[in-house]
Amino acid sequence: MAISQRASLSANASFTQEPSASLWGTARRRLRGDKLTLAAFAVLGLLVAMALAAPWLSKNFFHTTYEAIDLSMRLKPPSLERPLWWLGTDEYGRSQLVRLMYGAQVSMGIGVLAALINLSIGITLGLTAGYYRGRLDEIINWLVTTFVSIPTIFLLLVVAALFRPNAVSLGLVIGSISWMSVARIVRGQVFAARERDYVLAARSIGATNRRIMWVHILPNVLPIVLIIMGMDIGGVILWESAISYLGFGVQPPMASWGNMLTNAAGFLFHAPWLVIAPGFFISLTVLCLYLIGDGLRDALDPRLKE
Amino acid sequence: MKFIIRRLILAIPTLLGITMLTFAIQRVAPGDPVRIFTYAEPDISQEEIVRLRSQLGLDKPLPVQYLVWLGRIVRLDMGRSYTTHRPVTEMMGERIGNTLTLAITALLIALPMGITLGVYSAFKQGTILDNIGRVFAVLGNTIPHFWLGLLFILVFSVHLRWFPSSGVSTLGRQGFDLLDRLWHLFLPAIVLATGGIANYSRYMRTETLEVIRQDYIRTAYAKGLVPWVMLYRHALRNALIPLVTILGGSLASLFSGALVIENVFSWPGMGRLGYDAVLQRDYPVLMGLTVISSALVILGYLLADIAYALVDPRIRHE
Repeated sequence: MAISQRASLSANASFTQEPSASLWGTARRRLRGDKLTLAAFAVLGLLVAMALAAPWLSKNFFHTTYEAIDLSMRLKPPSLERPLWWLGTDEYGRSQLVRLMYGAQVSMGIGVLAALINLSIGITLGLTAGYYRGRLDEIINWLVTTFVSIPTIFLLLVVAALFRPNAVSLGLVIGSISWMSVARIVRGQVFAARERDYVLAARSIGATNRRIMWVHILPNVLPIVLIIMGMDIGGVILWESAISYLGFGVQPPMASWGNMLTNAAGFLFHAPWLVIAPGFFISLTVLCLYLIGDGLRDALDPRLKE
Repeated sequence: MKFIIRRLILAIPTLLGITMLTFAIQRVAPGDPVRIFTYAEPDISQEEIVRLRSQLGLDKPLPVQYLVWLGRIVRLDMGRSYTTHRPVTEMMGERIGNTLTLAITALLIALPMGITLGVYSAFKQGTILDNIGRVFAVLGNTIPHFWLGLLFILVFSVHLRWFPSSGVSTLGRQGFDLLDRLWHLFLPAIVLATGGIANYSRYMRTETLEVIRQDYIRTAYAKGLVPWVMLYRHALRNALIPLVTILGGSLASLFSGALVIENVFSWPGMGRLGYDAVLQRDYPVLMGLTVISSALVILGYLLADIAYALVDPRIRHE
């Protein structure tokens, strides 16, 4: 009786598929309804598209390059006359809009590179410390505390003084000095994860420690890692812009949002648009990344009741 | 008391780690300590150089060199600058006052504002005011602070002409004019405080929200306590406790922030010293700054831990 009732119920069901109850399925569903995060995704997508299309756009639409100096056109305020003047020109007559697009390439590229390095170092150390505990944990902890105690800016300055970094090595450097928070969080997660039954099960069928760490524990730590990555890239972009602004990061004529502000500071009175635009883009990008990270955190939280 | 000793001992390995790192970097750095002397006498002979090396201890094995260097650091002798040839400690001593003024003022601004904003946000949860507060908190963390400084200069110095844009005091002023100093201090301190306001308000909001849901708050309310009294005597005290830990961690970001802000506002502090040191590849100064600021950061964490134990009786009886 009960079975036939169930059968007829499902036959009349308005949906043919059960809504997914898995972590990722729930996350996807929640994200679809989260308008703020979706908007952040959209804006970020636009910025990335702008960065990727920079070379093509600058050649075919703006008819200039990011280093084309034209001293007769220096410090023009934004005007609608020509596309390359939409955001004005800098003290060398270069189009600010084009430089912003190339700057997007550099700044966001460095952000991604550094975040990847961050994650690699942080996850490896976090997994090792959390899984093996004991001596290894203590050593890694000591390393983390040491690095955390040195104000980041000094680490960056010291490295900048030692080697003159170009864009790529700057990314590598920033990545190698900000892995600490990732390592700490992963370590905490692994502490909890290693007590779970699936670890015991894997061990009982003979899985090696390394296999357990990377194949079994890591996928369960992944949600947290994704969230961190979003905020991480934002943090790296802020650091890169600060160090480039000081003059020790990306060197001109290569454009980065940070070093566009270095000379702009001197023209504060005559050309405020040179100061407002790059900073605005930095803030916008970091804001989008932050909102995405926040949205991901809410979407992936298994404790939130629907 | 035992607690304090224990925490002090725990801090030592970290201090050693930092000194090891700075020593290693100084060794890796191009530029010879002997340079200081060869700079003065370009025709110095080979034997002289060898003698100088052994005099400076550069021919001893590396670990011994490290220990010697460590011994000097502990006695606050950080060598001499490559450029000005003055003792590094002396150069830092001149500037540290300015940086501390800036940092402490920023902290004094950020704490009350952040706490009030956070608590207020928590009480008005869900309303427009709460959302505005949260937006400010997010913005405080996503906007580059040096850009905010530039914007402030643009608005308040260039257009409105309300505040000066650089320096500690007006040029040519004789003696110590407090009002003038405060006038110059205002903009940089506010900009440096923004990050703190954002963090503290966000933290206080979460904490207060948790606290006011507790049963003892309900009891106090049921007893008929006026909201303000209840707020101060019960809610705030408990919500404030974890903030102490966050405070300790603020010192590190205060230093980093101060360095950039000092550059924007031409503030003559340790940050500017570091900036010039990098430009001139002046490693002794740079390393000295790193060691001192790291030591101060560790001190900050230590004080925060001790304060936490003082404020929260539960920790003391562990």
